[in-house]
Amino acid sequence: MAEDPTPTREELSRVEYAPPAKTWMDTGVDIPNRRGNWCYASDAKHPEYLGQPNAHDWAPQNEDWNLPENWQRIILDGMKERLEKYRSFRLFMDICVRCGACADKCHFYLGTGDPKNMPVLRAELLRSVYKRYFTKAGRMFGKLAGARDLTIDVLKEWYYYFYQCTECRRCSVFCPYGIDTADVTMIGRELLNLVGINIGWIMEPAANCYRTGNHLGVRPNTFKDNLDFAAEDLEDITGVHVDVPIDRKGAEVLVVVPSADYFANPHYFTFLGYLALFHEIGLDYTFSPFATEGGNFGLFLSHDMMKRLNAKIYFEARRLGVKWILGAECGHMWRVLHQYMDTMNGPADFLETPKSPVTGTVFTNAKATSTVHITEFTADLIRHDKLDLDKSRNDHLKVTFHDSCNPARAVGLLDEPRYIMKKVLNNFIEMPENTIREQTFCCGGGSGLGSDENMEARMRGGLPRANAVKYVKDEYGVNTLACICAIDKAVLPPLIDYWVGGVEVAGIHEFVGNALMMKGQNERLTDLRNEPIPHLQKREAEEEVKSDA
Amino acid sequence: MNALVSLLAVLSIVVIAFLGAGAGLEVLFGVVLPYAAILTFLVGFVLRIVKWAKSPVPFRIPTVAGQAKSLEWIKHQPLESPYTRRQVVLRMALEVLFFRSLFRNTKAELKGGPRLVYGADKALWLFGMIFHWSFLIIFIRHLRFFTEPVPALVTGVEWVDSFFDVGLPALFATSVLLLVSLSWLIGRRFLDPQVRYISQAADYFPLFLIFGIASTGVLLRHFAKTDVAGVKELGMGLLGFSPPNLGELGLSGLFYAHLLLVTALIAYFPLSKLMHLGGVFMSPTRNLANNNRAVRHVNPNPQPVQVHEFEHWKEEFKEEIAEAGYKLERD
Amino acid sequence: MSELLAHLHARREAIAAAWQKRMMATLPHAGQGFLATSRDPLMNPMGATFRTGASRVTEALFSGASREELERRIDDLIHLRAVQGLPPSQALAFIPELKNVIREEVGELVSCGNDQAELDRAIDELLYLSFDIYVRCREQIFALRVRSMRDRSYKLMERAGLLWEEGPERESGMNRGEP
Repeated sequence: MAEDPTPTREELSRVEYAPPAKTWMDTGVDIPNRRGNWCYASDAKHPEYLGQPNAHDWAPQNEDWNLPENWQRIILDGMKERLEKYRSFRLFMDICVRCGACADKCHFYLGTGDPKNMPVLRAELLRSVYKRYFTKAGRMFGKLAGARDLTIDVLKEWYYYFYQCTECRRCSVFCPYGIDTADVTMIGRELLNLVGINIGWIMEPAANCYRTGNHLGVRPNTFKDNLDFAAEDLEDITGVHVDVPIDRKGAEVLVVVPSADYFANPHYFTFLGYLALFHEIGLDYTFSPFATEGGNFGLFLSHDMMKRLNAKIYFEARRLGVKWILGAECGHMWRVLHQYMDTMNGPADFLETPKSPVTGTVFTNAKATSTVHITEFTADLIRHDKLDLDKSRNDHLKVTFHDSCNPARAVGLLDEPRYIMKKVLNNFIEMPENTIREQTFCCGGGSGLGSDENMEARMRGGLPRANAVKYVKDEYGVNTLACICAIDKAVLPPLIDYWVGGVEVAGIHEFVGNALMMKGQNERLTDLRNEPIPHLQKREAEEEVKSDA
Repeated sequence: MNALVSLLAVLSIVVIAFLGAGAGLEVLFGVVLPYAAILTFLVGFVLRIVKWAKSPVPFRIPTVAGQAKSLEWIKHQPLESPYTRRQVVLRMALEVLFFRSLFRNTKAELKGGPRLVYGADKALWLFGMIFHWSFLIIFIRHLRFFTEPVPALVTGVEWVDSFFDVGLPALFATSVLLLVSLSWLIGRRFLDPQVRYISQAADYFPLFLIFGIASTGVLLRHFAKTDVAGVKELGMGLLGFSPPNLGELGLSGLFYAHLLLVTALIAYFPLSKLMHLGGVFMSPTRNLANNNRAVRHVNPNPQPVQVHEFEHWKEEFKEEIAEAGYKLERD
Repeated sequence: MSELLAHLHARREAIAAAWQKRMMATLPHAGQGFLATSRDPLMNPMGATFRTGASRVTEALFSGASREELERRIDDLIHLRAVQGLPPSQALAFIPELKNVIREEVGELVSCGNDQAELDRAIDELLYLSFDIYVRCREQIFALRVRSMRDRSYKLMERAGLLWEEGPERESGMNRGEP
């Protein structure tokens, strides 16, 4: 068979068919060969601006990362400090029994098949160093005790895998000891940051946010322009003029949004929904020109940075003399507002227990932080029948809901958005049970991984989520994926485009805005995206024909 | 490699015990080492707990696994998102007693194809439960050797445990269950490629050790029957700090093997992952209420940080602020 | 070549299973354990894509399906391969590997002489069309990068006059499977 076109065995041998015989401790990571799979390093100027230690220029693909000479000492000292500071860290280093229950719970593992993406091994990358330097067994028995030296290869592995964890906490739900890989990853990134290893996608927004108040670095005047512009857009669409108050002292409520809401697509349409809603209920509120960002990329860098970026929110609430804070649709922002803000920058004793001015409902669950989630607020409005809603205005949408990781697993906010959706639209379909609520799959771009250079890694990490969306699209014809997270709104569209196609991403308050009947509105034949609502346009056309006749 | 080293370590403990008992080292193995091990255990356990306790819990970071307490009419899931201390205790109790998080894996139900993974996960929960509960019951049964009169709890447990009334002396169900569940847990570490990949010596060693303890225990009870009265004399003696003359008791080499394995386990315990026994109670993602917004959590050791001062920001962007027309008043 | 195809069609399950194993094996470690054994498409989308892909493609191939049909059936597989961080040669090497899989599963089909060459050519065709899909996937990734950058500051750019009008790029084209 001379003409046999089959490649020879040798030619095929370039594909590795057998798993490496080595243990995970001996297989490092080949970063240069994996472009498209990791995030770029930060320019030194951003960490420098933020006063971060050992800020320097470096690049993951380079052999030499220009680390400070005593980098091992710095990391180990940092580790010691954090072991003494965080019980979670010390405990999680000590008690894992490697039962493997977490292994197949990680979207990055499911999407890559890379065993070091199993949460247990991700933690073990750090744990092995902990054992080597902080436990007797590790010092005595070394590798046998699961301990290994802190080498440059280990550090590179940390970088590669701690920036492949989206801190979504899905594994923690299944762990019999509640070991939270997000917590481990946070510490891992803090340690890397001590020697100047950090990524641009986190550092630049953090620096912008510190300087201007928001991640994109929008200046105070542009902020105002943007909000005015949104009001104009809303007027164009609905015919209703709304005021957008900024810096209004003595308002009852301070509204905090992720900055993407007022300039990114499709976040912006949700933002229009908020404006319409606030106007319609006559909410006495204000935006802050200083706290122009509810999101907090500090969370993805270090506890200290989170606290630094978060401080402005209570500061502004106090300065503006509001009674309570209303937080908009955002995932990680809500992890910070719910689990960290009061502890870090409270007590909020200058605020009151939030009380809805429309329904009189007292939000006792927020009596200490005085911060209410907008879906809690709106669900309560709808429950008390305070909104004039025409559900049919969303009839062109078949909607499914992606529980964003942080609202689900940090806040426990599951039924509020569902309640709202069931009241503002007719076609709501759940994705399969073990891909939603507390078991929700991450979008693949959380915790600062929503950059573009790592698009392929995001595609892999988001595969389990996309797959569940595809399922409801194929089965039920779903055409809209709802979520309450700014990162989701940025990351899901490309993800869904690649794996599924034909499904748009939207926030809950976009639907609310669509359905909301406003006093003095025009015929409103379009939705908030200014796209025609098919059945309304059709009806309008029919009526015209009738009146002509 | 990891497994082999662990196995050899356990086997050498057995050999040492046999050799030692034959060479007149009964006092070392029957008295000195058990005392030392228990001392190690107590000190080590306490030290470890103290070490954990010394690291504060700066933030309240429960992993929420269900609907939080929110608006009155929204159904709250107190076990998944505890709001009060009582609910936390319940959540912890279910976690500690029934391994609720592991059980969670079985909930998944989907269309299409056989679902091998859920079977496996359910097995992990099941065998984990069998193993831990059997171990506890066997531990309680052994209190017989340290108490006079034997408490009703112990005899009651024995009565239930030998319910099937097979053999003489009656075969305890837990003896079988412990060995079966251990075999499964060991087998899993070898046969499941993922678990094999993550397993370390520290994972195999305690399994082999406990397997050694259980099998020598079964041998002592059913095959190379040991002098139970002698064992009890030793147990009571150790407890009363007046150990008997071991030469006169004439306990077998097998008994010393059993004892030395137990001694090793006790001493090894506080140094190892077995401390999850204590740690599970201290995990901040499980033992805290998700009432973050209602009750302020105080960081015992807050770190001051530098923030962008409002006045500085105002100065930096004064032109833009003027353009926007903000007043930016402060009280 | 109907005789050979009928023969292979009868054995297609075994062939597909063996082929799927080869695909999994190109990812370090993924060929074993959960990713290989779980058939649940929602909990194990990668393994399920390999599994259903292998079975759907072989079925079409052995029943002499059209190019369009093959394209539809291999689409998911290539979408997955295109983002696995492999060089193109390795990403698609599993396709010619099907020839070896068939030989190993069915044995040398010496008696089928011409049929064999024809089958090999069909598999080559499969490789070529897969390469087309592969490149489309890569181009889609690049386009998505651009779109992400635009969307991120959509309103700012719109106001600065930096955006093109709602053009064909947004309305059509990029979504897969929607012509």
